[in-house]
Amino acid sequence: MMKKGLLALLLAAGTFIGCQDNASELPNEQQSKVDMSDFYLHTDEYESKRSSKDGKECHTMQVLNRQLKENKGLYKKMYDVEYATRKFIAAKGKPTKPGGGSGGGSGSGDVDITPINDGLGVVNIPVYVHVVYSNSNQNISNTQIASQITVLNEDFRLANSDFNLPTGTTFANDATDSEIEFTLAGTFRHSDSRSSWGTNNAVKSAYPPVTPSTHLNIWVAEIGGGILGYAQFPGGNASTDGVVISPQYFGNTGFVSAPFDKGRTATHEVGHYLNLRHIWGDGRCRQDDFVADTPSSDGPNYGCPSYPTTNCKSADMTMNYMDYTNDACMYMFTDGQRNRMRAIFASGGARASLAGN
Amino acid sequence: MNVLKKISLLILIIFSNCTAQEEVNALEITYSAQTRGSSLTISYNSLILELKTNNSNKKIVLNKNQKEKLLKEVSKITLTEIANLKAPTNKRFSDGALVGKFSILKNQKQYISSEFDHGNPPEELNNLYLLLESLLN
Repeated sequence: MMKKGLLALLLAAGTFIGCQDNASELPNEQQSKVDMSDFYLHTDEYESKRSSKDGKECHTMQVLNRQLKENKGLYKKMYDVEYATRKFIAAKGKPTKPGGGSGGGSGSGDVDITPINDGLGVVNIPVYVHVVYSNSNQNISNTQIASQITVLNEDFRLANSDFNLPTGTTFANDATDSEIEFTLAGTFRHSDSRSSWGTNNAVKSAYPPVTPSTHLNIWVAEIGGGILGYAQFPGGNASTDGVVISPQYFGNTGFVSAPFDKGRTATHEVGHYLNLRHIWGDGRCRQDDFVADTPSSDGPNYGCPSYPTTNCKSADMTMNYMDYTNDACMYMFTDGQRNRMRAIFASGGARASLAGN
Repeated sequence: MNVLKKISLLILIIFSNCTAQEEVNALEITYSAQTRGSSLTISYNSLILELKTNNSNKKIVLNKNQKEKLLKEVSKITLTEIANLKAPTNKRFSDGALVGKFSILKNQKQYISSEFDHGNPPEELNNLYLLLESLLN
């Protein structure tokens, strides 16, 4: 009997030898972005200053201080109340458009931004296109170039025929006419034996931009490495200012390659050129794109996602030009993005001279 | 005889448990790099190292030596810190680079790194990245 018991014990021990902590560590859940850095409750210092100054004491704060001492959980409770309040206010956003609006108090977090009237009217950006080609395919036609200018004009003014939100979104009142237009000012063509240019601005060194402070320069050149196009944000070096797009992703006719054959790569890159960030903020939930009416997200969307695609507890705006979806599945900017883009045209702004300002 | 049988059974159980533990605690490494229009994944699991891109697929079986090199490289990394590493460059913010990221499963815990420009990881992850690259070439 003893032997059996001992054996059973040894057996059990044997089974557990080397058993390690099983807990798997998942990344911390991200909180929504609410700035609580200025939050405080204790007021001892404040109170003593007040009482010495004018003899008055804030009795309420005295009571609070005492309560905070007595009740350890109170701080957290009050912190949570403040957090929720700030979140609610942030969600309500700025005044809604007349006649429209989301009724922000629904708690859905939908923010509606009013397009700012900056008095500049329609801003027309002249464009220089540099076609740098190593074969005849890459030497794209004037028709292909014109098609890209057309797409830019449609996309930036909500005149694109494929604007078609699925049922159930709260995005309809966010779609914007940014009142930014583009005019082709000139095309330069260069034959070059280099078959791919990379993303270190080599093509711009070889073929420098023309008057970049007043013109958007676009290089159409084979980038390679799986990159469709890349941009330079405002505030960078003038000698490398502009946008580079590989030829088969430029325009919507001719030498174009699906699913990036509707000219949206340029729309996306020009968005960056005009100071827009990726809609997911290039980070997790808390990382912002600095635009209030785009939903929070923790990563890019690819392909043609269905609605809703939920991340960070809200539906992503996958049809925004600043996501990573296919050309056919992106078709809008928001009012907030419009305001952010136009801000750089204001007098003193990073691209004021582009708008003749 | 009976006791001997029991003891050998016990030993068998203990050792099979140990082996099972080793498999359960196996190291998995995934390096992913993505952008609009292209993606690349390097994955390591149970001696197999695989590279997948939009239009290619490469699989190799590592020898014991190579596996040891890989394990050694991973052991040099403070895995609990990789989510907080700062990227040396940010070209991916304007699409000038694919978005790179490491995901490492060790001792049943998953560690996901912060993002960085593909090809230019933070210093702490660079040696691992270079090793994976060299193993695939």
